[in-house]
Order: sequence, then C-alpha cells, then structure tokens
Amino acid sequence: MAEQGKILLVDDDPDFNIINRTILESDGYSVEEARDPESAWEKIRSWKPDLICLDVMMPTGTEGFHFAYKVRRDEATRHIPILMITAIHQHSDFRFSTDDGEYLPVDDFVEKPIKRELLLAKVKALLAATRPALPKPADDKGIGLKK
Amino acid sequence: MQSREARILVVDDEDIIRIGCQRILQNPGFTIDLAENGRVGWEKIQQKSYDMVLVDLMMPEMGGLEVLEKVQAHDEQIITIIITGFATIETAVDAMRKGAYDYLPKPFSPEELRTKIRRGLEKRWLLLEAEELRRERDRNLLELSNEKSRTMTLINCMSEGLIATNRTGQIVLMNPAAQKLLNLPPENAVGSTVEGLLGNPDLEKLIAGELETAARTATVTSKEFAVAEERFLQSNTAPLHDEKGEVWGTVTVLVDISEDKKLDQLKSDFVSLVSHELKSPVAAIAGYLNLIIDGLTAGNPQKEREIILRSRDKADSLLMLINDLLDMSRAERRGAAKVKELLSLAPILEETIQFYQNEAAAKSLSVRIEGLENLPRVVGNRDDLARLFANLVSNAIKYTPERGEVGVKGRKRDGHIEVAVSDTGIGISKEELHKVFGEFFRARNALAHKISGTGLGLAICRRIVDDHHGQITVESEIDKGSTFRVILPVPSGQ
Repeated sequence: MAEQGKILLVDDDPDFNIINRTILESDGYSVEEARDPESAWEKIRSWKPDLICLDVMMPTGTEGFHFAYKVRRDEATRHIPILMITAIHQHSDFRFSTDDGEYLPVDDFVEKPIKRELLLAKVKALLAATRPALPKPADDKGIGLKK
Repeated sequence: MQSREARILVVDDEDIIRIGCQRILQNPGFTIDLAENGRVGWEKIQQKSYDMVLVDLMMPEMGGLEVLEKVQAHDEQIITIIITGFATIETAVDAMRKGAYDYLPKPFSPEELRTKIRRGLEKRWLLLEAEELRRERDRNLLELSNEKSRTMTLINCMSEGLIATNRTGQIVLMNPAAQKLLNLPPENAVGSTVEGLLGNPDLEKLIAGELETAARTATVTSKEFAVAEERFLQSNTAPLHDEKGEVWGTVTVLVDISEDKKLDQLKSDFVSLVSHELKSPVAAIAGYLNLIIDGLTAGNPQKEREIILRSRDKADSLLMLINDLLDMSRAERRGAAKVKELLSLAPILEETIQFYQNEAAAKSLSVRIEGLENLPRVVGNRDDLARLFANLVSNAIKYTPERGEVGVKGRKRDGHIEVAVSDTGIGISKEELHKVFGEFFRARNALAHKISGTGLGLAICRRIVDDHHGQITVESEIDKGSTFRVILPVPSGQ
C-alpha cells in the first residue's frame, strides 16, 4: 500500500496507542509511538511526521499542552498539524479561539473513545488542508483549562 | 405597716422626763431607749437605727440642736422631736429649720406626747414606704438594663454576624462578628445607611430589596457571596414586621461558610479525579471493541486475542477500582453502621498473612512475623482493621522482587501498639514519599515496573487509621524497601 502519510502517536497510555495505531495502519498510514514528551520530541526531529496525535493528560494533565506549545514555537516543527486527543467532554473547557491571544495551539481534537471513521476523517482533512499556519504563541504560562 | 415595731430614743438630762416618757409610751409596739445626755444619745443613735428621737434642747455636754444636726446628717429620715422648757417661737423655728419634725413644750400631758409620737411615726412610716418604693423602682430599672445588656452580650458573642436595619435602610444594630466577617473598620456603623457601607453591593442590594418586597411576603432570603479569596459568606435576610404587618426593618444573619466551600471543592475535585480514573479503562475497552467491530483485527487472530486480553485486564482493574472506592467510602462512614469492639490484632494479622501465603510463596518471599503474641487489645472495627493490614501486606508482597523479605512486627509502646509492615522492595523516592497516602497516587518506579494498582490502597489505610484515632507513617529508600508503621491507641486498664 502506498504510504499515505507519517503519523506520530503521543500518549502515555499504551492501550490508546494500540487502538489508534490499528485504526491508522488499516488505512495505510505509517505510525510511530511515543509515550513521553522527551521521546516524542526526539521522534519528531528524526522521523519528521506529517501529523501528531497528542494526548492531553500525558501524564500529569498539562504535559500535552506544553508539548503543543513546544512544537508550535520551533521553526522546524511549527507547520506540523496537531490533532489533540481528549477524554470525553474535556474539550468544553479548552480555549481554541485565536482571538484573545491565549489559546490552545492545536488544529483539531478528537474524543476518546476513538471512533474509527471520525479519526480517519479528521486525519485526512488535516493532512490535505492547505491552511494558514497558526500564529506563533507567546508563552505557555497559564494555558489549558479555563478557570 | 402599723404592726412594725417603733424604736424610740428619749434623750433628756431630767430623770423625770425620761422615766415619764418610758411609762407613757409603754406599749407592745414600742421599744424605748433612754439617754441622760446628748453625747450618750448620739452614741446610741450611731449604734442602733431609731425611727424616732425625742431630744431635750438644753443639756450639758451636747445640746439638743447639736444632736439634731448630727441626726440629720446621719439619717434625715429619722423623725426628731424637740422637747423644750423654753417654748419660744425662735427656738422652735430654729429647730424646725434644722430638720426637726415637731417640738413638744414642757410640761406636756401624756396625751400630747402620744399624739406627737403617733403623727411622727406616721410620717416615718410614709418616708420608709416611699424609700422602699424608690428602691424597688431602681431595682427594676437595673434589671431592665441588665436584661438589655445581657441580650446585647449574647448578640455580641455570637459567631454569626447580625445586622438589623430600620425601614429606611439605616443600620440600627451590628454585632462585632458582622464587622469582622465583612472586614469593616471597627467604627460604629450604627446610624449609617446600608448603601456603600457594607462594602458589599450584593448584600446591600439584598437588604434594600428585602425592605421593598418584605411588605408583601414574610420569606427569608438566603444568598452566598465571596468576600475575599477563598472566603465565602452566607446571608439570611428576613423582614421584621410590627403587629399590623408593616415592615419595620430587616434582620440579616451572616455565616462564614468558607470551610464548607473548601470541603465541597475537595469533594468535587475528588469526583472529577474518580471520573477520570473510571473513564480511562472504559474508553480503552470501548476502543478495543470498536477495532473488532470495525473488522480491523479480521484475519489476525493473534492481534485479536491480544486486544481481548487487554480489554479483560482493563475490566478487572475497573472492578478493583470500584471495590476500592466502595472500601474508601466505607472507611469514612461513621456512627451506628460501624461497630467498634475491643479486639486482639494477632488473629487478624495471622489470618491476613495466611491469606497472602500463596502469593508470597510464588515469588519465593520469606515472611517474618514477630511480637504478635501478648499485644494489648485495641478498640476497632474488625473489617476495617483487616482491610488495613491486608492492604499493607499485599503491597509489601506486590512491590518486593523475588526472594525478598516481608516482615510483620508488633510491639507495645506507651499506651499504644505499633505494627510495622516492612519489605525489601522497590521503595519510594524521597520526593514522592509525602504523597503516598493521597488518592490515586502511583509512584513513578511502580509504573516503570508495570506494577498495577488503583492508587487507592494507602489512601484507604490512612482513612481507616484516622477513624481509629491512630497514625500511619512510612519510611522508604529506593531499591532497599519500605516500612509502614501503624500506631493505634490502647484503651487504659490493660
């Protein structure tokens, strides 16, 4: 099967890496996994994925957010789309708006438990889009959950 | 009134007058004392309280007028009657001016004496009655003001804040607790209007609104508001009505509910933590099932089996978690549902060790038991204590690599017993040691060793120990092992 694209799964929970890998590989993507931000960063630099699927809670609850900022701030990686994976209903607390200068610099999100069609549709859309790059965030202090 | 005994002193230097008076006044209602001159008379007056003094004007040593002056200064309600042989208008007027009630010219008839005495005593009794009435009134007033200050003292000692306003919104009463809760300067706020004064627009509006609407309803309005960071007050405002149902003002009681709020927050934090812990395994199971349903494992039986086994593990861990949550709420339950009895720990500990014998044997662990015999009994709930030691012993076995050692050691200390459960396991890092009794805490090295757990076992232990008024401590070193000590009080008399 022709390679459709390279996707990096970043989740500290091995179950979701297995589930997402199985779904994505079934549709012809090549998949690599990372279970912590350090090895994920390593993989991004060496393997150069086309898309990152990033878990929010990894593992302390904010590491996913901080990792998204790190990717967005680096000139070499900031073009890579990020699909954030959240547990059910978590996203209602997030800021996705770019209006107020404080936002979560990800391109889209998908809820756990993962639905195959939805995941594949979102991945396909993100890889096909010729979208303007998101603005470069200033810093990641106080990001994440609305209080 | 007439029945009271009249004490009368006769002061005269003439024997005949003294003895004559005594004889004339011989009557069950009178007590008659005699004095032969002014000095002796004055001494008697100072020693005994008289209703009436008959005093001769002309006497050696101390004259009648001097005695009169002294009596007036001593007690102006004593009736003084001047007896005089020189019945001139001048002396009589002089004596009356100095406070004498009457005068009696010598010689006098018994009837004249009795009349003067009777009138004088009537006056005396009236004076005493008036005095008594005045005292009673003073006492009533004192009681009234005492009652008022007692009520004020009660109001001022309340921990709840109390604010009363009149119908125009002026504050008529505010106790110190209200000032403190609202963080107001100590100046007297009474007389000011509510607006702007309370520094709390919400409360001001509430009181103002209560005044407006209270006319129709008689309901209490409750409201919560924040007065500072993490400081919350609850106000209960009620209208005050007079007998005709007219609104007369409002009364507001303020209660500090910061602690309740904090507990609420802890509870909701815990619920969201629990929800997350419950959600993850369910989401994983659902995800795995979707893979099979979507046919992604078709033609790969090995993968399918792996996914099914993983789902089963997730279901097991979910079950474990739910059991732990139930145990935790059980450990917190108090009162009638929980029976505490005087019991011996040795059989509980021995049963626990027996129960985990196979698991220890499977890892070739040696289990050392020491000092369990002769431990004094403690007051506790049997099931809870069994759960406490089961958690500690099973942890010791779970976190200790093969051929290690697990120890259960009891000893008696001053009024306490201590049970130490030790292992030669993977240990807990210094940085994480203080978190081990928290809910859902898993040590990094436990995760790294892929040792499964809910993160609730030690949290349950802590709750059980707390409920038994005991203490649980931990000492640990990475790769050397851990020791958990449970200290429980021993009831006196053992």
